[in-house]
Amino acid sequence: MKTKREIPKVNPNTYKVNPALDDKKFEFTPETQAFRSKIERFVKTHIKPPVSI
Amino acid sequence: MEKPSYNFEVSNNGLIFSFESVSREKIIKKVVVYEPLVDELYHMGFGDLVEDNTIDYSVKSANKDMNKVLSTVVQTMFLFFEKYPDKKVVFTGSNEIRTRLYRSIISKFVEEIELYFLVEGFKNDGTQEVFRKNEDYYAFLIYPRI
Repeated sequence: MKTKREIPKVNPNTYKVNPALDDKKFEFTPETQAFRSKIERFVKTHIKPPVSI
Repeated sequence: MEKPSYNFEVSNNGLIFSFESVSREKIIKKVVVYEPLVDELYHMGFGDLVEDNTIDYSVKSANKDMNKVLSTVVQTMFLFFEKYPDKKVVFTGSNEIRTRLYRSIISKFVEEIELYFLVEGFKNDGTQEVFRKNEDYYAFLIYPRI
């Protein structure tokens, strides 16, 4: 068993928060949209959520 | 994993990232998107921003900076998990060549990655297992060690 280490912190000087990205309405090319749908189907089919007791 | 990477911008919700891939020939706007799928699972995709705010995950940029771009994507993942430590990220290549590239990169750095994260691989038939080097996978799952 490996010892857990804290995930490296990203240097705050290397990025900035841009709230405009939250509001931007991105679209996807048809090929990319097909890819997104495929991985979504795969995940919903094969990756089961953890069972709650 | 201290590799050269690009500075980037991040949305307030920590799910959308953008940066510029720069070479002598061209500047390409890149976008990394973390999208909720089901429960704690998010899909991470990245690609080029083409005209009209349209994202293309499949385009071949050929800007001679693949390592720097991928290092930047890793940085976005660190920041994502800093904000959402209880989430898990699924990703795969937009084609088999890219998926093999990701597998190769994970294989190369898996000992280092596993200090911080757990990595799993999914076969085409959905079989899920702890990531093994040089094994063929359709997709990858990564999440922080608890």
